[in-house]
Amino acid sequence: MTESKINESLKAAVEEMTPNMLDALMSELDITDEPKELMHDTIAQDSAADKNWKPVSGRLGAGWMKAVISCAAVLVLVVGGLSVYNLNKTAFALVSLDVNPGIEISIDSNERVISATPVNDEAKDVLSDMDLKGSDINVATNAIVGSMLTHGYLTDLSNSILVSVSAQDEAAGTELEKKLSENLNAYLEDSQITAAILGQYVNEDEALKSFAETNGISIGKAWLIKNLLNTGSTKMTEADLLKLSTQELILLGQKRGVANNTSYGDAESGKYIGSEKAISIALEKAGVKKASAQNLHYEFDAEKGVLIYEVSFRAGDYEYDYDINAIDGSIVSYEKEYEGPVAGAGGGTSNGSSGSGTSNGSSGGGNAYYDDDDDDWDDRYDDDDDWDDRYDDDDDDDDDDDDDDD
Amino acid sequence: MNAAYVDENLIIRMAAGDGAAFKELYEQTASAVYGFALSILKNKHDAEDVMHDAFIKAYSAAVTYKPMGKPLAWLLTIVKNLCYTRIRTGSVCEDISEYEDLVHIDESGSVHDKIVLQEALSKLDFEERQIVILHSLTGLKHREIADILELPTGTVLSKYNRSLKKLKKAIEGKGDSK
Repeated sequence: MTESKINESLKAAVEEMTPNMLDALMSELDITDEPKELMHDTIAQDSAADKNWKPVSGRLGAGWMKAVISCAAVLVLVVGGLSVYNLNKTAFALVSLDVNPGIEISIDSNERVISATPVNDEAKDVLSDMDLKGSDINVATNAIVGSMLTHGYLTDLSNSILVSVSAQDEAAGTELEKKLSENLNAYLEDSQITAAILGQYVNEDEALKSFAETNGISIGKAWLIKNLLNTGSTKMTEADLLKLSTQELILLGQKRGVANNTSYGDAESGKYIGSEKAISIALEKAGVKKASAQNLHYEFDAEKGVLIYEVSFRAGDYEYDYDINAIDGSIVSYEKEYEGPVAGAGGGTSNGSSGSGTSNGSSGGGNAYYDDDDDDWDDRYDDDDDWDDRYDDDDDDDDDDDDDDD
Repeated sequence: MNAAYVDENLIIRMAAGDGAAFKELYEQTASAVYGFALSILKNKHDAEDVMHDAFIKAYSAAVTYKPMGKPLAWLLTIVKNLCYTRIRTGSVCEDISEYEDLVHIDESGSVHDKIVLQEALSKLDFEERQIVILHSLTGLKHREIADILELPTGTVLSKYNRSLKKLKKAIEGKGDSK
């Protein structure tokens, strides 16, 4: 059989199997295949109908306009829902939004934008053409996030937003933070974007300000770093944390549970292997079955600028500690320590045979072609070779393996 | 229609809410999307779910598309990420038995074609399956497939050749026994 015959067969077979879900998709998305000439007009009317919507579109580039059009329905809803709340608020507050671009927005007591300041160069890019002055903070927030999307700063793999609020009145500031995070989450969900949000109220003082300025980061990021240092990790240092991206800091914040925050979504969902995977890598390397691992737990941590899952468990007389790189699943370090027979929990003599764990190689199984790389993803596929063995023996009639014993 | 020649204007139009563009994109890429998901997950139901989610996501994420002349790669990356998320969260049902019946499940189409697909899904490893399926269904070049799978082009090329050999052997072996 020739190469092109094989390709043709594969193509035909898959095409044959491909389900037809076009109609279902279109009705779910609420679209038709009629040409949409009226799109712009409809949006303009909707927007104009709501007083809170500032028509900044005149100054926007074409790229941003696309975001506005596709998200306009959401914007209008959010704004509509908030107009009552806006009537009498006295809090004067500073809101900072961090993705990797960082933007600080100061607002007046009516939650209208006084100014929006880029913290870094990426942020200048994001803010480039937007005139947010006077717009409602929720509209401004959504617009900025929309612009981060079109500029590619928010993607499937880098999906986290840090929302920080500091205000003269802590109670009002905290309330504002919760509301902003909630609205932003709703906006992203409605736009079918999987994102993680960490909201925090920031007690701003001079020390924090100068820490932020010295390191060229926003107040919000500075606060998060300070908070992370209070979560009891023995590994993280200030210098380490400054090396991390906002996304990584948010993930640490979510996993380690920094104090007083609002959290939506999961920063882990993007490019990280996830705790289950980390645990299975550690168990596999130790040659320990999950069932026989006792006191199995993990912690999310950062070491030398790398995010890790710190997986620990006990098996037999030994205590195992693995630090697994959270992105590629490689083993950063591991320890196997003699603990003595299980009697009292905790203590035990530590004869520290550090680094002597047995490594089982990436897969057993005995099927050579699964072994040629240590791609984690196919490990789970390594187990299922058995079933296709039946195709290997040529004697298959239609009855399968019931005819062995006569 | 060869999926490799998807017009990126479709995605730009889709970002502006153009349903006709969505329909056109779907028609040009549905089998590539489904086949790619199937090659990763080896399971019809999961591949269907991913196909559904991928098109929904593509529509809503179209605003984030940066025109670089690679609309199909963009779409297939969405598919890949969705599949990986499924694998990672362990929500893939590995109902392998289904493949033993692939030939019998639906009567339509050529039995021979189905056997070839079945052999590809069962005899090839994780990366080989993706390479072979992407090659046959999209007409993408090895270099482009390498980009999507984040593998070196040389690896893709050698795996492709190895896969074809394996497949030929498997199919001929099967042919003899029948």
